[in-house]
Amino acid sequence: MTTEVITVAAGTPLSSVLEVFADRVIGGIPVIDEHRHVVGMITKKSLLHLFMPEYLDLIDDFSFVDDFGVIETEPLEDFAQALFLVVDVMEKEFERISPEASLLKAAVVMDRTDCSVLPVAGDDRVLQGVVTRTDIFRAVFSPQQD
Amino acid sequence: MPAIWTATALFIAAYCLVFGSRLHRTFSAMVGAVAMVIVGREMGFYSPEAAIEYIDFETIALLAGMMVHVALLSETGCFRFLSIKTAKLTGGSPWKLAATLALVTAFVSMIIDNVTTVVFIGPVTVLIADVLRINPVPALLAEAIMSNVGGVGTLVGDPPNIMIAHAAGLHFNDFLTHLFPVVLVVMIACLFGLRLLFRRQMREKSQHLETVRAMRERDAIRDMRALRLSLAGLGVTLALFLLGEPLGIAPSVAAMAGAVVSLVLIRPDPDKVFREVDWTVLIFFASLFVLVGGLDGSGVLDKVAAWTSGFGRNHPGGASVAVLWLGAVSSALIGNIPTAAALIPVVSRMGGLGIPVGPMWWALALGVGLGGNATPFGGAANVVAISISEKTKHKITYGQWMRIGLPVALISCLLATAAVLVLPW
Repeated sequence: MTTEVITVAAGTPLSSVLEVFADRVIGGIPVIDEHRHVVGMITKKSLLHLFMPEYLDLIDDFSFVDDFGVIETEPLEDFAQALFLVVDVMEKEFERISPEASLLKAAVVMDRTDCSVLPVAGDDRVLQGVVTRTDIFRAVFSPQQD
Repeated sequence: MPAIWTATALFIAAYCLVFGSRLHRTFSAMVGAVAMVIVGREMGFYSPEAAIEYIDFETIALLAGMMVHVALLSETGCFRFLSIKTAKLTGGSPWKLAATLALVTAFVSMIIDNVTTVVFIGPVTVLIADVLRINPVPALLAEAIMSNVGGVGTLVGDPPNIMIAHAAGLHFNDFLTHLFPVVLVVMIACLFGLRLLFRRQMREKSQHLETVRAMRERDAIRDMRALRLSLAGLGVTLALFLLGEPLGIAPSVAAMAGAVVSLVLIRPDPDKVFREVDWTVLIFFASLFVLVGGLDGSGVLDKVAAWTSGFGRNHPGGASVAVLWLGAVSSALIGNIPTAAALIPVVSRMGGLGIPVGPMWWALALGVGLGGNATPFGGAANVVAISISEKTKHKITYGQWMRIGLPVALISCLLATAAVLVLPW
């Protein structure tokens, strides 16, 4: 588990989050309230959805098109004009894992939910850290130290 | 007498549940069917054995066979291919785009079920309209409306037609000779009606055709071999539909035979294919049959047929028109399948009393098929078109649907009335 975690508040402007994602190689950021309770997750995937027209979800294969023409830049223009906050985009339903959970449990949850960052919090929902895929690789594949 | 009132009360309660939005319509019909069997057994007018007898396995097997065809075809990407190919021919004209995609939807809906057709053609329509910078609503509405109209034209186009065919002993070719020509006329009238109703949105031609022109419809087809083999299987089914009457092959056997040919040739993952079969719809049908069977067992249908037989005998034309409009209004309010399930046994009983019900069957098919266009919940394709629009910037509201759908349904039903009265059925 990584205990030094970058977090954001629900009222943070989304532009600040974009800067974090642009500067660092991280898949997701926990959103916390003033008591450090985890209230959501903001991921690169949720941000990607912001730039895509919603109806594209209904088409499962885009092999027939390379360039969407005039609609390519439209969502970006909409995004630039609107004042989005983290709360507008964060995933309110997300997986979390307890500090007592095993490595295998964390790996299984990540595999099934396709998330790369899991917030670690107990029943009190207070954020204690995050588990990333890199954390699991380090724990499993690094040489054991005696 | 208590049996008649109890069965009627159960039937009305179950239909209210189906119509209401508190419980899914399939669960509602199941609740009604189970209640009818339990109460009917206690009161001595129905039994579990009789309930099984009432399930029309011809209809269910035909639907299941066609669902296998749909499951195989939809995987190939052929609907995307059709939509893009059609859009390229329209030259950026909003009217041509809406009209041609609606026509394609109508003709595909004559063989494939309406919902599947709109589910696959609708989203590509929205994408094409978006890149052309035109409002997708006229095309989406036209597709849903025309899928309902097109479905009336053949035995397999609409589930009520399948139920009517089995109850009345009608063949695939009977539908082609009786309803198909009427449906073609109604389709043309609907297109004119839609053109008039959407005249404001249809004015400007798109200047962004290049994106659509650059789309490669061939690449939309994921598996050309599977597409060819699916079409071969569907071809077998269609040939057996056409030759069914002289060869004595039931439509359900024709649907299953073609589906089996496709399955053997393609050899897809069985779990995947059978997951795509819409069991919810099949169970809905079975439950409705059990529910209506209880009504019959209690003697309600004989009573209704006896009450209406005088009118039917003395005014056969008027009776057909009454069936058409009753079917249309009820279909607009509670949907075409529950309406057909309730009205078919009544017409059938009237036939048993020696009343000439031939034209009434066609009137019923036209009424329940065309009336559903009047309201957003009259047909499953309507609901699909609305839910697709909700993912765009141009949401179709219920009011907007009624402004377009109601006049179109009225024009269609008036034309159908004329056909029922004039044509020598």
